[in-house]
Amino acid sequence: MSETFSILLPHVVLAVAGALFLLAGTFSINRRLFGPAAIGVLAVVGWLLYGSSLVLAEGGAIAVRSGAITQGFQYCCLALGALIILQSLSLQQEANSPTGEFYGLLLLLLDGLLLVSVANDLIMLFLSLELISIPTYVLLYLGRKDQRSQEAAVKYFLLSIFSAAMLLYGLAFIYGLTGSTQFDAIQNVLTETYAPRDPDALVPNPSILGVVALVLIFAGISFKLAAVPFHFYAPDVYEGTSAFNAGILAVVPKAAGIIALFRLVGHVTVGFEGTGQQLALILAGVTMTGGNCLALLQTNVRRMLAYSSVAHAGYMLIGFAVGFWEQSQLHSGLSANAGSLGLPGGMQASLLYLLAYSVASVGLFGALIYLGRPGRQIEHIDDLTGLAKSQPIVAIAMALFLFSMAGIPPLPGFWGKFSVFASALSVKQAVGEFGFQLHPAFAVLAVVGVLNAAIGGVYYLRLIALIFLHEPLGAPRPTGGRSAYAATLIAAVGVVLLGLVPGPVFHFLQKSAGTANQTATAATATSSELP
Amino acid sequence: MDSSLLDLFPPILGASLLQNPQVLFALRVLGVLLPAFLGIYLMLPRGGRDSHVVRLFGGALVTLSFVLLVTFPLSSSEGAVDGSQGTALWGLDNTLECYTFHALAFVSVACAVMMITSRNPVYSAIWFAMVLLSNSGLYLLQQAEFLAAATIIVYAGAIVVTFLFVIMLAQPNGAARYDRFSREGLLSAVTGLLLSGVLIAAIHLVSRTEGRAPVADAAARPAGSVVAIQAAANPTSLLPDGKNPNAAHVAGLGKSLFRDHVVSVEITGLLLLAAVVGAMLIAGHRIEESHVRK
Repeated sequence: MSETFSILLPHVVLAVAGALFLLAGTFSINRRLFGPAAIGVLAVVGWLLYGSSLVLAEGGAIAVRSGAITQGFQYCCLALGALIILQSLSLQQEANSPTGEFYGLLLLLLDGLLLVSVANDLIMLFLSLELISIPTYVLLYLGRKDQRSQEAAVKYFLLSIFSAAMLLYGLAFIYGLTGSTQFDAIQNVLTETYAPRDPDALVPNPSILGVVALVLIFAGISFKLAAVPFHFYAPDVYEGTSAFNAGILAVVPKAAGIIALFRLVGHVTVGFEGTGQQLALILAGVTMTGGNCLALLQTNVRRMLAYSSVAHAGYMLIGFAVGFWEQSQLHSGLSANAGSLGLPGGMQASLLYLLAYSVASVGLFGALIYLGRPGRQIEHIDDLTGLAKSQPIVAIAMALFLFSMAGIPPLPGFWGKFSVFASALSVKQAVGEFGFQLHPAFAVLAVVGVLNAAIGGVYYLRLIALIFLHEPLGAPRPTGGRSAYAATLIAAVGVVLLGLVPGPVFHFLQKSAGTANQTATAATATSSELP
Repeated sequence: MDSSLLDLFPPILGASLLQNPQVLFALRVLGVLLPAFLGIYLMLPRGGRDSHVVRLFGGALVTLSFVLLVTFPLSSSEGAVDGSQGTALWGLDNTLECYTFHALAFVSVACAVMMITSRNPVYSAIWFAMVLLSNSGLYLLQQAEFLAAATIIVYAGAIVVTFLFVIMLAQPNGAARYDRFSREGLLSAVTGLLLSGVLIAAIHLVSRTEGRAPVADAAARPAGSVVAIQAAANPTSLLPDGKNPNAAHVAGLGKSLFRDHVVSVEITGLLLLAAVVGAMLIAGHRIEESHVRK
């Protein structure tokens, strides 16, 4: 119980703070106080997280489980959350805007994101994902007050509910298959059945219900990632809503989907790795290609970024295809050698990619918030033409983010792409008795990925060329406020630091991947050693 | 290279198609569901007036599909587990439970079809209440008394009534034009056909080749295994399968809810708080007139 509580304490504080903000919104309190107070809350939560990591570095109880990767993810979420709040400070100055409720819901949303990363139970995972979705609907409704944004909000609302139903249906199949909702119990049941340590045991074919469950779970999570073919909402919603909301949509659901997959793979997919690998492979290839090709055709900035975020989801899914393969190696007793190049394994590479993408994305949308005005946002890419003349610092920051997204070394986007592709190329398959060769499907996927990086470079570089090489069409009058400016600059510094000094992150991910594998093996061992 | 690509897509690039029992099985499932697909497509409201003949014909087709689903053998009996004589999805045997199940299942499916094919949203809400009532009956058959009662109280009692209020308050002049006919009727019917086909095929395969409750059958596992220990600790986490009729239901559910899932219960509270506050914010938030495009 104390372990549960020490993991949950930061989340409880965040939730209580969110509820208090909702309450405080009903009183006549100076609305300028809410934003800084919310950042203060995040700082306190970060400090509590550090405290709980001292008490309990690795471990957990029935409902929640924490570990090095979870904690790293949570620190990143808090930092990005603080940047998002910083961006919103000047947006909340209008009279009659529900500031307290806005920040309360934002804190609840961040709490949902943190809870997804510790969830150790199917029900809790689903509820945490919903704790992200429901505040998102409200923020989308409050974002702008015209019909287009209302249409975007309704579209997102209906499709998100539909995808949540599919996810829930898939999770229900897992429960029906194993009789438990708890990850460790599910893992034990499935390991006993499909990957027993006793070599003479009769291993049944993977149940088709598990395959159906995996497909439904992937469908539900792909909506959050905006992976093809569940991406249709993304461009319309990004275009219809404000730059701030588009920034939230680009980062938060994607991070939630990736960390949810990270929690699920290896726990509830034992025995179904083959299916998961096929699903992730196909989704990754289709998503990268579809997103990048459609982004080429766009002339609206937010629409283009929507398709680019679709493409990035595809790169992240490569890591999960590799992750499924590593898990299947783990259960068949072979050691997964994806980390042999000194690189993190597949899923860890995806997390690195997620970090690089999120920082650049938050910064990019922060720049759009800064350059826009309440009645006139940055819509067409021509609105950015010649930005380097009028706003040189923001232009340089935007170029950094775009270069990082395109994967130009030495920015973090490059390290993300590099580790994802390297993990795909490290997948070997046995030939004959001792020989190994590249797994052809993964090799094809890596080639498709590299080609896609080239396609992606076209539209990112086109935007950069517009910003730097053309004469301005009109002088933009940025009114996004100093806080959005500051958030953009902080994100730019983050991009530069992460790009120039990627070593600690690599080392951290690689080390924690090693521990995670050891724990998984140990858990399997314990389960079989019980009398 | 080639062999591994074949491994990647074994079901697609398999042996010659029509000799493959899996393909035959899939065709049979689709054949059984085809009348329902046609019937629902015919019943969906389109522009123009409703024709009673067409709706009756569609209803007859859906009924035919249901009867076929119960009686028509979907796959050969090879590889079937012991004790399952019939090869239809749910074979009829001469017990009251079986008749009750099929009656409730038919009412549920029929009401669901009426729900999605009604032109008037108020009727749809009432048919939805009927679906929930018959589903509650199915839950009772599975000895899930609490779930049955909660479904009636929460869904039929509260949510459907809220639906009716919302429909009446939001559209005092009757349903809007775009609410009265279904766009993309063909596509949605095809999607429904494929989804129900896949699910029915999967459940059928499992019930034929793996027996009932493949892995969850904790009682059959060696005593002392992790699963058995967990099952003993959490009687409610087991699926009721007739083997442990004494499993505590309502009391066990409460215990499990507030012992194993207490964190989830608290998160549900947060979720409802966010939803309530959000609903009030949206309701109090008016679209500014100047921005409304007429």
